[in-house]
Amino acid sequence: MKEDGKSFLRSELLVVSLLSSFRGEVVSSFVWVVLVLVGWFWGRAVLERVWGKMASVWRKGSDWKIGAEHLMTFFSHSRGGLLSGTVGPTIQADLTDIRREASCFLPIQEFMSILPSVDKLFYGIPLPEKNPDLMATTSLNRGFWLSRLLSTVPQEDSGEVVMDSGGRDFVLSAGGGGPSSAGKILLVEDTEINRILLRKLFQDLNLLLEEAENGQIAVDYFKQGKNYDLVLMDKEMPVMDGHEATRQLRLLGVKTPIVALTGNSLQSDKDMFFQAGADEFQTKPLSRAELVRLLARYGLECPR
Amino acid sequence: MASAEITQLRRQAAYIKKSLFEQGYLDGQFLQLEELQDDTNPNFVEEVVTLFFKDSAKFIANIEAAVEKTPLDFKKLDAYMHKFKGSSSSIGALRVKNECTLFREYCQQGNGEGCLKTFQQIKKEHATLRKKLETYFQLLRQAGPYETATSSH
Repeated sequence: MKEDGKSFLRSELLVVSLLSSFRGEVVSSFVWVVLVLVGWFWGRAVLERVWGKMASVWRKGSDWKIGAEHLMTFFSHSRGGLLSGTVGPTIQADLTDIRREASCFLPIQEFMSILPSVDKLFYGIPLPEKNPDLMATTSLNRGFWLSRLLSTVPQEDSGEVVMDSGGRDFVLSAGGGGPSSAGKILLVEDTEINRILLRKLFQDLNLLLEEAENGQIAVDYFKQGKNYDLVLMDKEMPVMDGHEATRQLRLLGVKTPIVALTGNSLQSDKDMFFQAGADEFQTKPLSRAELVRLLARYGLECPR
Repeated sequence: MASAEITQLRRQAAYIKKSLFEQGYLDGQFLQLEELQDDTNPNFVEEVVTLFFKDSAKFIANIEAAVEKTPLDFKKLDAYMHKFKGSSSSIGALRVKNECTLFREYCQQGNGEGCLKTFQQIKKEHATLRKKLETYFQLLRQAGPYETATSSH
């Protein structure tokens, strides 16, 4: 690519030299157009060369070892014809919460070899079309970013791939919309006013919040494979109350921290929640400062 | 509207708010509501408070119907009052919340007379708070683009 560029530049300079012997606005305009094209060509070449040296493997979950600094990865690939099944390392697409000890950086070539399977996560649609936000520059139209911040949760249209390459396990995650906020919280609360207040609070804190009006809905979310960094669980709710929902989530193997939120601070309520598997008990309503401190205890950052 | 009139309206609103805090009708949670209000949600506080009074009217109607039945279903009454108390607490309606707490205690004791007496007090506090807050928000609306009263409690 570099040699092609130099050769192109030499030719271009020769043409400019020849054309400069002519007078006229047509010649000047032509020269400007050519110079712009050359500049674009070189700029793109430099961009791909520099960013092609970076690689990232994203990890998820608080029980993962936090590795070295992660970087954005830019890859180029041809559009279309990407779905050829498993290519390269053994790949297991898994959208459930998988945590494994892993620490490795993939060589670029190896990483690029698994791109078709990564695209499979997006249901056969080439990434640039489905997730334009992931494109570094849409005009390039042949590359995309795979990125995710530490301790984020994949969005609904994203997934995780657990890969086994040379005996090393790692998780590659691709998120819809690129780097998102620093956490996804599930609020289980039946009272609308309380949901409105917390919703606004989380909006202000730039954190993702999903809501469930009762414990049964919350349990169903987890059964559907949804993942969260934290669950805020009200106590008294219709259909299924907070104690029962907590108990069922723990029976499902859900390890997400669960913080009980209730207006009562009775010891009996606390005991019931802790026996069900809650991690913490908080009295409602939570002030903004209390919420920020609570989130910090579970490693959830507030970007703002 | 002249700026002097606007200032006067805002002062009146601030006075009402201050008195609501001093008389124990509101607590710090109301200030938390105000902190959530911003340019993207300029009427957030009024909207939430309006929703509270809409919901609480239903709670009161449900409890009214329940207390007329004999014998009293304390479990049902307690459930209604739990939600009412939760909503009151969320907007900082301190007096209403405290009366709701007392009502629930009477429910747990099976004290029907206490429940009825407290329920009358809840309705009274609720009506007073509603009237005062309606006046407060009306003054703010008249003053122009919605702003919280500047005087702290």
